[in-house]
Amino acid sequence: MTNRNTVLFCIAAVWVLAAAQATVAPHLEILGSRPDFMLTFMGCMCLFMSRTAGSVLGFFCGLTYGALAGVHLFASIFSRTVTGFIAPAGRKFGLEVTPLVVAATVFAVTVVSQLLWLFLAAPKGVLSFLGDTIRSAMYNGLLSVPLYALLRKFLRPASLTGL
Amino acid sequence: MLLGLCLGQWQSSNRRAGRPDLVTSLITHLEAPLTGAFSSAAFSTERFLTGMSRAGALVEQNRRLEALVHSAELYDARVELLTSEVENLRKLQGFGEVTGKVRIGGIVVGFFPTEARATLNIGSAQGVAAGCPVISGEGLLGVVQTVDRDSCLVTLIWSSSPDFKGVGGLILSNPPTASIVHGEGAGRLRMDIDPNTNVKAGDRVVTTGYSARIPRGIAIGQVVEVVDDKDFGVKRIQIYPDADISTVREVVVLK
Repeated sequence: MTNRNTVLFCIAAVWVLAAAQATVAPHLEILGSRPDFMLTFMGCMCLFMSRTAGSVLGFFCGLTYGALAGVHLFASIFSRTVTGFIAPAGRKFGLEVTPLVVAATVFAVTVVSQLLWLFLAAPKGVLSFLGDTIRSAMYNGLLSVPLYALLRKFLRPASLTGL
Repeated sequence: MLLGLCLGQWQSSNRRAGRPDLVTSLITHLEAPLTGAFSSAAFSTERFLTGMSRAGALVEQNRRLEALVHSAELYDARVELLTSEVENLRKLQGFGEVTGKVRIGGIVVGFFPTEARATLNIGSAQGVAAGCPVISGEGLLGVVQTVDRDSCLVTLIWSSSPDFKGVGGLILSNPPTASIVHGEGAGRLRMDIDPNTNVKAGDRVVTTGYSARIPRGIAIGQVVEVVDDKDFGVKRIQIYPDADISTVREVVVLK
């Protein structure tokens, strides 16, 4: 897939996943855990992308989610952009991308992003927020494995190094 | 990052005026076709699965509800007559308009449990205004925060956001006790009341009506715990809300 097609794919994915987050995600709650499709997608894509591309993707994920959910836009944009910038740094460690690494990356992306949000727009119940974050991170980690496999099949990683 | 800061400030100033900013409005409109379709699909699937597993109980419940509707229809004419008498008396005495008489039906097309917000498919074109209460069959769900032409954003009553100041609640104890109901997130509500009041677990909580937009008597929830906080000199009441937005699709905005 060319870079232009990949950009179009990311735009379409953010559009669809934002709508799914608002409508489908609340119905997929398991034992108090809710998925965050946009963070899962962002975490998986950061395994393919450069820091610049990751931060741009994070910006648009934060903007879309913040606009739909009605939360403070700056907190949403900042947390996702910074996470999108940091996450691709993991590629420098030269780890082989196994399902465990993918799940751990998405787990870390979720936790870091929500911790940044916590510092900018702290809710009243900090402990319950942290509990929700950990549960959501575990759920996202599980979802990330099949999603990464799909993305790897349709987006050839070699063509994304220029992003 | 600077762009994000500017957008955040713009959003805050628009939200104080009860309307969404241009970027939020644009994104909501772009997402509207998908959220409507996904919402319908999600609720249809859930209802299909519920129907399959509880078919017998649902048929029986439907029969009971139909019988209740027939009984209620017998009193419709009498209620209409009494309502018009009350309206005439209020006009003669020079009383103001009663809020909550206009009911605007809508559908939940988006729900964000962590942020305690929901999006409805009705807006200013249908007469919705910021500050209007949103109710379901069980009780009060939330308050309209921002209104666009064809959609609105609702803050749920259990929101712990500092932007949401709570709603006036009346505990139906003996004697009744009024205070502000605050959200604590994750479906929990709290009230702080005078320590000398006689409130116990099981007492019902409804809206006070001391509001320009929220009429009195709408069910909020039930008292589940009463804690005497001697350090602050109050009684802390934990309330379990009646209305659960995760199980409803059709709601009503009162104006």
